[in-house]
Amino acid sequence: MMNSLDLLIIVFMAMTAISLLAICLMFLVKHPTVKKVSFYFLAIFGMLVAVLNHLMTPFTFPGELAIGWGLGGLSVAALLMTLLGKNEKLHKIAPILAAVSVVFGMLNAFM
Amino acid sequence: MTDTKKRRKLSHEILGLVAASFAVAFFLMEFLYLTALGISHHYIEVNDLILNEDQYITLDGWLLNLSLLVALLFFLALFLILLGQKLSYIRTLTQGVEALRANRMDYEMPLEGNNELTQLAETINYLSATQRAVQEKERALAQEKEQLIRTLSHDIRTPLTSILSYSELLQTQEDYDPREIRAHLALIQKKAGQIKELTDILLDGGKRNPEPFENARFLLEQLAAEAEEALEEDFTVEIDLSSCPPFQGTFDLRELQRIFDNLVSNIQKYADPARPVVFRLALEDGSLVISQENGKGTRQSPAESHQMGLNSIRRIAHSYGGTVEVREDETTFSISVVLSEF
Repeated sequence: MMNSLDLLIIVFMAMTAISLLAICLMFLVKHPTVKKVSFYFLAIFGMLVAVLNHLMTPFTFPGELAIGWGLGGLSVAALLMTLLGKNEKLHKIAPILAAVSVVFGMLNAFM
Repeated sequence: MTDTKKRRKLSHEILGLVAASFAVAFFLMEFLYLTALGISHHYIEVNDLILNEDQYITLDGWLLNLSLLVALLFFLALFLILLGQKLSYIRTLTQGVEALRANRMDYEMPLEGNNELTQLAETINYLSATQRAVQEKERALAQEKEQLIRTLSHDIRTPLTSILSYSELLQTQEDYDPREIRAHLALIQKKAGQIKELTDILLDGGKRNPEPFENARFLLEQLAAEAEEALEEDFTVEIDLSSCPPFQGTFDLRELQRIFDNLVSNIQKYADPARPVVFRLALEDGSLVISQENGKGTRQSPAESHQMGLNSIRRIAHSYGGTVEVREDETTFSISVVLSEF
């Protein structure tokens, strides 16, 4: 029988694998559609990680909660930069922000 | 036009905007709801407040509804902003079409994105480019036509001047030998014939009439001799045909005649009678080179008339795939007319 820790580790591993795969696809693959899909996936995933972080963290750790939401906010910023930004620079920064949001969000949630 | 490029549909892009707005609104809702829930529970705990289950459910419900309402409003606002930005391109296109309607054909639609609107902008750009090309072609044709009329009108003046001079001579001179009269009348008739031919060209819109010549050297020799005849009263004329062996060629006789007429006309007006006029005809690398050299007289060439004659020669040379080279210093004028395709 699996206990809740086993489940947590499975969820952690699955999320890590998925996020790493998306980051690799976004930065290494040259196909624009793959890059775009990976970016949008990562941005939404970053927001989900922030929500998950809140659900997993007791309210007695307000610092970690705030950092978690802040990292989720980076994903929102990345998404808005892509959709609203007309500057080419913003389009280059957005994927980096999404990747940072997911990686640090995961570290904040599980470590 | 990039027909092969895979286009995204505008409707799909708008659906993407809905999805993105929804994701951000959902994130906001979760943030507001979970944070507000945490704060309220912390407040209840800190202040030792006791709530029953119904009150907790009511509190949760209120927080959830409030968060949902804020998220919904945020969703609508974000979606409208994103949609407005997407549709603002239509305004750009409308301004572009207005500019084209106002005949600003140089206006180029900016290309944004890769959807049906981009395709529309590309199509409009293509149409305006085509329209520009047509207008430029029309302008060039009109210019060419005008140039043709100007050069032919100028070329008509040369035999007309001869007719006027000879008829005036016949009118004023009383003791004329009948043979001399006939010779002058024959010349007048010939010049009138030339005028008729030139007006025919004018009426035909510059239509050429090339015909093959078995011995083109003989033809050129005759034209040079006619030029000599026209000039011999006032100038010493030398004709050099040593580098021109007999050859075959297809020429429009009237065009060759016009080349020599213009050369003669310019010599009569601007050459120094004290120095010889030299005509050289040569066949060089399959091209016919008609060269002429004379000393410059004291009379300054009025640029317009002089250039008109040279332009006429240039036009003719151009129609034979050739060129005209003019060299001039303080004392000597020389011109080389190269005809390559005959």
